[in-house]
Amino acid sequence: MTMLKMTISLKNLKEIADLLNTVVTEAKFKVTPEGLSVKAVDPAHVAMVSMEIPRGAFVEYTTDGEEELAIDVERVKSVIKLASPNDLVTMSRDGGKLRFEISTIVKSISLLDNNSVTTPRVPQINSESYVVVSKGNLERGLKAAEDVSDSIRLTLNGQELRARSVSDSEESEMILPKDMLKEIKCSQTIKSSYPLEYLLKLVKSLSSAEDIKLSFKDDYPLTIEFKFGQSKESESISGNFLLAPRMEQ
Amino acid sequence: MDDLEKYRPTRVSDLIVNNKILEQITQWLRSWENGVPAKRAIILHGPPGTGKTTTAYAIAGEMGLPVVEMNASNERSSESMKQVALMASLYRDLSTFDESVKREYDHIILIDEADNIFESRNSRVGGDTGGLTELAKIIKSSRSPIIITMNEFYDFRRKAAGKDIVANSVVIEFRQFQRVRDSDYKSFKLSLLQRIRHISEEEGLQFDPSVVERAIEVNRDDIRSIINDSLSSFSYRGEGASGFENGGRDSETSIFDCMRDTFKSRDYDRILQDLFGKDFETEDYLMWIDENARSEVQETEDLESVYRLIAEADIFMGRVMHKQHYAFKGYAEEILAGVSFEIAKPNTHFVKYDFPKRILRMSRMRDGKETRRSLLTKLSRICHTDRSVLEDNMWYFRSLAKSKKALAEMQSVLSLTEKEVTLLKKG
Repeated sequence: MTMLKMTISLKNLKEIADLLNTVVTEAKFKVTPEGLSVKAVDPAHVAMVSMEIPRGAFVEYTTDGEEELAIDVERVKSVIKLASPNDLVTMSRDGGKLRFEISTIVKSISLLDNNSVTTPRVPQINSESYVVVSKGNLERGLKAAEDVSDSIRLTLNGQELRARSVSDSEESEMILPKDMLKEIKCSQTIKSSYPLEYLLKLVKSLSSAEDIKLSFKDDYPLTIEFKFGQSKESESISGNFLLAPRMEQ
Repeated sequence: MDDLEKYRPTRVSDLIVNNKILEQITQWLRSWENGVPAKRAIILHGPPGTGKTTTAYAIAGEMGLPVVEMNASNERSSESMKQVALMASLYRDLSTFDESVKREYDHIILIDEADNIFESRNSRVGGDTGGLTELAKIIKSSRSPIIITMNEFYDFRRKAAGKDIVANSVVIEFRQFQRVRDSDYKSFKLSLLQRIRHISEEEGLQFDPSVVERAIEVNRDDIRSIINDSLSSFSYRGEGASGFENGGRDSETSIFDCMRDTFKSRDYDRILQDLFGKDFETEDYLMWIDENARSEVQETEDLESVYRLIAEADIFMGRVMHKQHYAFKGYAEEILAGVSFEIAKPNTHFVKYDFPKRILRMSRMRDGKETRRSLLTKLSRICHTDRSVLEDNMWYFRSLAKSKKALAEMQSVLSLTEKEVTLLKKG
């Protein structure tokens, strides 16, 4: 049994848990001397998240080997509800348990069986076109579409981003012209549809982000890169969300 | 012998499944290459242990496709159906996404044991409320093949949403053979013998074909039980031979296995062992025996003594329930377990065990009571009157409901369900 002890700010731990929880309820972390990494896919294989948490993102990080930690994400969320915003959370492995120390409270949750949680293979994705939008704008457009359909169709050309949802009886569309976009790189018109509920949940869970970068192409997975914590590369938590495209007629 | 999982076939050629069945499934999957077919789901129904789930996985594995599964241990309410089955039915699969590969569909959706989707009007009781109705909708728009497995096809078809699902699915009965004289039966037996010989060699067990043949007689086409029973009665090489009688499954015994053993095995200890690991109540056991005695027993005199025994056990049960000495339920079980010894001329043919009608009727009655209650609650809210008063004055609402206009208005104001409307018209 290896020894493992890590201390992280509540804010970062909460964001990590929220991000994972948009996709799964259980996740398996890979622990190395360099830090933690995790990959997870939802049961329908339409939403995936992969995340790197370098040792620099922790206040304290000690391990003497490599191991895997299968964790019930919802349990973690309920444990850290006990903390106040500026608290530090110390987690250590205690046999089959993960022990939390939050100011005056010590609480242990049991770890899951490593074989019961699978780690997905992350596909090779390369899409050159992308757009950076403010989180507020994007969230508004997605919320407008929320009760219309299960999917949202993104259309991007050099001039604008459109996000449109249609059902038999209703429709909703957001149009963001070039001057309302933070950045845009797109040489031709591309369009693809994605699961709306997941997209909205992902955007909401990125609590510290101001802008969201969407990369995609025709009927191709959507990539959302994220980065939070410290601004220094070796101390920031980073990763990708992937959403599967809808099969078109 | 707890880890037989590793011998579960992963290739289609290793399956012990009737070729005609395999041919139908692969043909249906192939039809997707010419565009989405009219029937986007396939129902595989048959007794437990016949390889329905294993077949689905082997076919998907051979095509290199992942399986998106919703089984009985998952919640299968309409919300979860949307989250998993609906999403998987319309979107591509990230776990195998590859731009250079062009596929008609990316994964196979498996709804395992669909007859165990437990629907109830009351979402507190029925964890899977709305699940079947949602599944019926999903099937109509799916872009991925959906495989649905179940044991009880005929009960399933009786449900409203079940009927809809059946109408939009290819239906295949998972029967390995029809009669013991069939050539299908011979090839089934041969493949099983080969498979069990292979496993026992791997596990270092003494293979004995006569044990397998007996296991096949007892378990019919339940491959899982045949393999488990055979292997558990083989002895390790070098040790003395142990018989089939000593072997036993210690896993949970389903009511079907238990029925078969109770009526056919004539092995009292084995039946008691089954009952020890049972996953149902003594009351259920009693009602199942009562329901199925008629189809199992052929001679009138035999049936008479069987019923005498059931009656005796029932008296015990009555007293146990009355005094609330539940620990004594075991006595009723031990009486019932001897039912096969009352049968002078045992039935050697396969018997399809039915679900007790009494339980079905009771649940339907409960359903009716619930409808009445919810209708009265809705009326009482708008009339500001107690339910019991309204109940005495239902004649008024019944005559009101005779006018189409009034009925339509009541329906929209009270948002009545179909069942409530029927009840309202009847009074």
